[in-house]
Amino acid sequence: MILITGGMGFIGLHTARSLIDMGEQVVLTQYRVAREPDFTRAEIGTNAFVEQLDVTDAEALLTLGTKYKVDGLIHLATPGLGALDAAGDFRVNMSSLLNVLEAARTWEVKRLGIASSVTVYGGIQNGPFTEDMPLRTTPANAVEAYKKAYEVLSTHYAQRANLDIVLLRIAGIWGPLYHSMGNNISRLVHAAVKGVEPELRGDIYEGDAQDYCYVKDCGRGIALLQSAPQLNYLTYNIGGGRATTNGEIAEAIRRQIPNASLPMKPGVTLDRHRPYMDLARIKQDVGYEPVFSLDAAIADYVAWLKENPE
Amino acid sequence: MILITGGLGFIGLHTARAFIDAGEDVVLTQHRTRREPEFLRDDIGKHAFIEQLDVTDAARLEELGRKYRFDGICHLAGPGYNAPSPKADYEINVFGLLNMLEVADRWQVKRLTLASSVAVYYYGGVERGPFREDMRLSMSASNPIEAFKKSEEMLAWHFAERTNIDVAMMRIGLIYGPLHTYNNPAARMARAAVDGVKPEFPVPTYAEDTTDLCHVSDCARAIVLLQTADKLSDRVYNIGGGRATSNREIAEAIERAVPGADVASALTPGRGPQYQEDRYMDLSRIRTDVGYEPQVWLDEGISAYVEWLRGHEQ
Repeated sequence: MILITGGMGFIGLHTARSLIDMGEQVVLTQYRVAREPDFTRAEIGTNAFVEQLDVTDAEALLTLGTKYKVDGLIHLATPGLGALDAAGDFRVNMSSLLNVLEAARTWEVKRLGIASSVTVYGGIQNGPFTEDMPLRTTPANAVEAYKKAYEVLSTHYAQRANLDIVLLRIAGIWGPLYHSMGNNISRLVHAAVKGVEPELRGDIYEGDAQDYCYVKDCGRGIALLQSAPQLNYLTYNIGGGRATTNGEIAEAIRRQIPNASLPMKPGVTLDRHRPYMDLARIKQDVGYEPVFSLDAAIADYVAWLKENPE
Repeated sequence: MILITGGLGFIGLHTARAFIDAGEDVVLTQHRTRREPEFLRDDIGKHAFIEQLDVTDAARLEELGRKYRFDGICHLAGPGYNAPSPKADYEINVFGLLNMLEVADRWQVKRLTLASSVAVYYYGGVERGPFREDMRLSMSASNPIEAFKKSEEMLAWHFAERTNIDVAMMRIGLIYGPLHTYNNPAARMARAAVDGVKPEFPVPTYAEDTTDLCHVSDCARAIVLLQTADKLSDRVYNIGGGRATSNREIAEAIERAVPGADVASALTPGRGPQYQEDRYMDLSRIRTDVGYEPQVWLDEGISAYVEWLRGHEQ
C-alpha cells in the first residue's frame, strides 16, 4: 500500500492511476481539494482509499499508518502558490517534510518519493539539465527555495535514518484535471476547446520554450521510480525530454482545433539554451520514456476536456 | 541591543566581547551550555545580559522581545553535532531559524545575521577553491552542518525576499582560539602539546589536508562588522582566514609555541581522500563591503591560544 500526500491533486491522481495499473493499492490524502474523477472512482474502496489529512499534523499522519499497511510513501502535497504568507509557507512546507520523513522512518517504508521541480535549475543558461549539476543557493521564488531545501534536508535525513528516498525533479506538467493553470500550454488548450480567447499572463513569444511533460507520462515516471526494486541515484529528472516552443504548441493545437485563437508574438525572449531536463538517468534505471508526443498529448487532452466540460 | 543566540558558545562569547568593545550591549542566550564567561565578567549586568532560551520556543523568544529592545539579532545557536535525533536536529535548526526570521520581521530589527559554514563548499559540486559566495553547490550534503546550513541559507534568502527583512548569512571558516571545545585538529593538537601528550584523533588526520583556519577574534570582528554595517550589497559573506592552512603547518606552529612538543608526528602523511585544492574562502566581498581583513596570523594566534590553554585545564 502506497500513501500519496496530495494524492487527490492533479499529479497525485495520475500517479495513483499508474500505480494501480501496476497492481498497487494507494491511499490518497487530501486537504482541501475534494474531487473524485472518473478514472479513479471505480477504484475507490478497492484499490484506492481517500483520507482527509493536514500533513502538518504529525499525529494524524502517523494514525494513517495504523489503519493501513503502508510500505511506500510519495510526498506531493504542497501549499498553493501565494496562499500563505512567508512564515506560513515556511512552516507548512518544512513541517510537512519533517512529518513525512518521520512517518517513512516509523513505518519502515521501502521507499519515500519526494516531489521536487525543474525550477531547481533556475539560473542555468545552458541545458539540457542533468541531475548532477551544481545549483545556485539564491532562490528566485518559493518553489525553488523549498524544493532545494527539501532536497538537501531529505538527503541528509535519509543518510542518518537509513531511508530509501528518491527526489523527483518534475517538469512543467499539464493535462486532464489541471486546475491551477500555472502554465500557458494548459491555458491555450482550454481556451481553444471552449472557443474563447485564452487568458494569458503577459505576452507569449513563439520562440520561447520550456520542458513540458504530459501528466500521464509524469504519473508513470513517478510510479516507475517508486516501484523499482533498486535505484542507482537519489535524484531523477521527470520531464518531456525536450524544450517545447510556444510556436510548436500553437501548431499542434491548430491541428486539432483549426480556428483556435492563439495570440503570440514572434521572436524569443528567454535567454536559455536547450532548457530541458536530460532523461538519461530515468531512462537507464527504470526505462522511462515519454510516450505522448505533443500532438498525441494535445489530442488526448482535447478529447478529455470535451468529455468533461467544467 | 543585540540578541546573540548561542551567545555562551565559543564563537558567541568572542562575538559578545567584540560587540561590547564596539559600544553595543548584548543579550546572550544559552540553552545547555553553562560556562563561566570570565572575560565578560566585568560586563555582566551592565553591557551583557544572560538569558535562558531554547530557540524552538517562540513564546520564550517573544518574552525576551518584551524585556529588551533589540535592534539586531545574531543567530549562532545550533545543535552542532550534538542533536539527540535527526528529528530534534531538524527542529532546532529549521524551526529555530523560522522563529528568528519571524521575530526579526516583527521586531523590525535592523539586521539578522545567521551563522552558516565553509562546510557548504565541501565535496559535492565544488571541485576546488578558492570558494566564492556565488558558486553553485550540490543539493545534497555529507554531514549535518553542511545539510542544515545550506538549506537554512536558501530558506532565509527566500524569506528575506518576501518580507524585505535585512539578512546576512555568514559562511564561517574553521575557527580556533580560547574556549574552543577541542573537536578540530588544531584544538586537539594544541591541547595535547600543552599537556605534554601525543594528540589523538578519532579519524586519520592528514598532514597535507587543509582548511580555511581563522582565529576566533578575527571571526568575531567580522561578525560585528557585518551586523553593524549601514548597508550590505549582498546577503551571503565568507568569514575566514582567506588562505588554506594545512594540518602540518598548524602542528609546526604549535611545536614552535611549545618547545619540545611533538604533535606533527601524530598526523598521517600526505593528503586524505577528500583533499580539495585551494580549500579556502575568497574574502573579496567582505573586504569590499565592510573592510574586513584577517589580522591574527598563524604563529601569533597559536601562541596566544597555547598561552590561554596553559591557564585552563581541560
